[in-house]
Amino acid sequence: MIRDLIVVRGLNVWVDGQHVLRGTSFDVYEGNVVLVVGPSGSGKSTLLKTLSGVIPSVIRGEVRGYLNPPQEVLRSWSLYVHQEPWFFISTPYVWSEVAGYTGIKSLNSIREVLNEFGLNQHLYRTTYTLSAGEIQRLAFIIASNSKNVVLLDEPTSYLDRRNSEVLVRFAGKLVKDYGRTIVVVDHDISLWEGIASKVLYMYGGMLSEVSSNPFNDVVEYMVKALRPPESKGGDCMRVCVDSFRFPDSEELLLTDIDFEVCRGEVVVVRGPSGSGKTTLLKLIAEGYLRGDGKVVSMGGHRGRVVLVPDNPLLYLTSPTPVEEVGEHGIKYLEYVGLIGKAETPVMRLSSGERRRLAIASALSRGYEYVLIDEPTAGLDPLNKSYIIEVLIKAAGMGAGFIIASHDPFLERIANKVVSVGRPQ
Amino acid sequence: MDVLSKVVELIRLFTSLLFKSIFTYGYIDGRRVPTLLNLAVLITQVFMARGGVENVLVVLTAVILTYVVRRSERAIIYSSTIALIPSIWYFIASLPFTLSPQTSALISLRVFTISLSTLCFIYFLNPVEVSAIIKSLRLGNAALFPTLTWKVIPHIMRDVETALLISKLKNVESWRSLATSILAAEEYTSLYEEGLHSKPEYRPSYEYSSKHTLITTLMLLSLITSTFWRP
Repeated sequence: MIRDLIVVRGLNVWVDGQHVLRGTSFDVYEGNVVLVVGPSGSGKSTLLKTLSGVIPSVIRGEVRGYLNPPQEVLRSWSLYVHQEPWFFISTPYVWSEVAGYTGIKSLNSIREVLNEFGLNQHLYRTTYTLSAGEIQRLAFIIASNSKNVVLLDEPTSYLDRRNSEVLVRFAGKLVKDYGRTIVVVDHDISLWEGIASKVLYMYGGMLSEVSSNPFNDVVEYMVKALRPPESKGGDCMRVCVDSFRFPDSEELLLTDIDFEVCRGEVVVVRGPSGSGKTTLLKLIAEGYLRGDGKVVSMGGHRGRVVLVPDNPLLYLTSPTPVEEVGEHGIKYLEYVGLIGKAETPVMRLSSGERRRLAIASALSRGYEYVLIDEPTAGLDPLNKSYIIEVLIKAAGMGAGFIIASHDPFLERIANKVVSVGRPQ
Repeated sequence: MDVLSKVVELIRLFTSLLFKSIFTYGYIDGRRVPTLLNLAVLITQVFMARGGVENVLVVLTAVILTYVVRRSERAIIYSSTIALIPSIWYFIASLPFTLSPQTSALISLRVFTISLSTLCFIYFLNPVEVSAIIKSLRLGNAALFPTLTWKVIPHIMRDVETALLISKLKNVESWRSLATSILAAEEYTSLYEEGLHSKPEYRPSYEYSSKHTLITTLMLLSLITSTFWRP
């Protein structure tokens, strides 16, 4: 018999004095998957953080409304997996994470449970080298042994389509074989429609049930309107990688990569997680090899290239946007839609805003080639379209881009797509 | 700016070496040796290295053998490079006082050996066992600190490396990037707090490798014997 597991009525949540959730009501049935979609900043993550008790225990805030079971009980029932899943893991090895949080002590039993979730090869692996999808599956293992409800915050942000499907398959297994309940925040309804029993749309802190993708218009626009920037040719940079392996690794990470990017062009480097996309960007940025032999040839472009990493905060070296771009670079803040936040401390900007600021900074400093790692990860289609438009505009101004990403929308603006890792 | 970029490159190199000398290879069998036994070996080695050149060489051989037997040969290169930094410093700093290159070289060799021995101890430390010891002392959440530290430090060190690379590319002062890395680490603190909030109680468990425990015990006994045995 299906029964109500979580009942929420008139939930209001304030964080930092801001009214984020405004009278939210919904039910979650036992053994169901509930998908929550909605634009970035609409309160989706706040909802999960409230259900898991992160608000108000870790993040200061005020929670009012009816929650059954109450927050303290929900906390002991549920497992919350952050949008950045790396922060979920607290031990250095895969086996120690499973042993420490499931009570399974023998290595053979740990191997068996890892096998069930496709992680049997990774028993002794260090957890800081795991991909986002692998960490989420590790969370599933912990949940399958100790928790009733799994709260997943944008679990497919860092995954390509194939790995997203694998994750959804294992989420289905968690529900079917272990009877767990999942509340998941994500942007792609089509991915979850096979297992989601309910889709809720969050907008302005309020929820409503929907059957079709509320982002259909934006997605349709992107499919129709996005085109690669017009290549002007001329000044180009050639990237050649014969082979590259990390000094402590037996396996080659990158082989036979040879492509050219010209100013005003966009090259997208695609490949599954762990295939070496980020490493390739770093190698190009350094302009020399850190491992075996000569792998990157940069022509005379050293000093004209800059890297924006997947955590854009690491790129920023000034406290506010206006200082980051300098007085003469204020127009670039306008281009990326940040003029209203020129004086806002960078620590208070969202991840998407930091990425846009990093692009503005790179343009204002006159870099000819900008290397960007996963610029659209974790963004809803609307915010994604803002970033993509900024990239097209910047390319039109003469900057060349090499972008590491698995986002198919970015491929639509690529003059060239380079595959690394397994053939796509 | 050339000097600055050289300094940044040196800091990056040091960060990368420190990372490799402590965090490479994952959970190898050599890390399944009781921490107290490893600590006893370290204390004995430090005590022995205070003696004459023969003693120092015996200790140095023992440390290198530990890396080799535990199949972590590459780590010797990284650890030795790190250990060279204080030993060169001691050689230069002691020379004006000893006025003898041989005496300063012995001091330098001693510092190198003790540094390498300490890095070897840290490299093979099993943070899960340390967590379990703290847990058994009923120190509450403190049990999470050793494993969490081992998980977080590589993450932060990679960020520092990336931030320094960016400061070099942007041609800005390296302290700016270091400050950014600190801010990023600060953000991580609250993100980890969020991530760990709903996890079940942490109950660390571990297993020893009988082979490596036996070899290490024999090494400890040999070291102690060679300290006190005089033909």
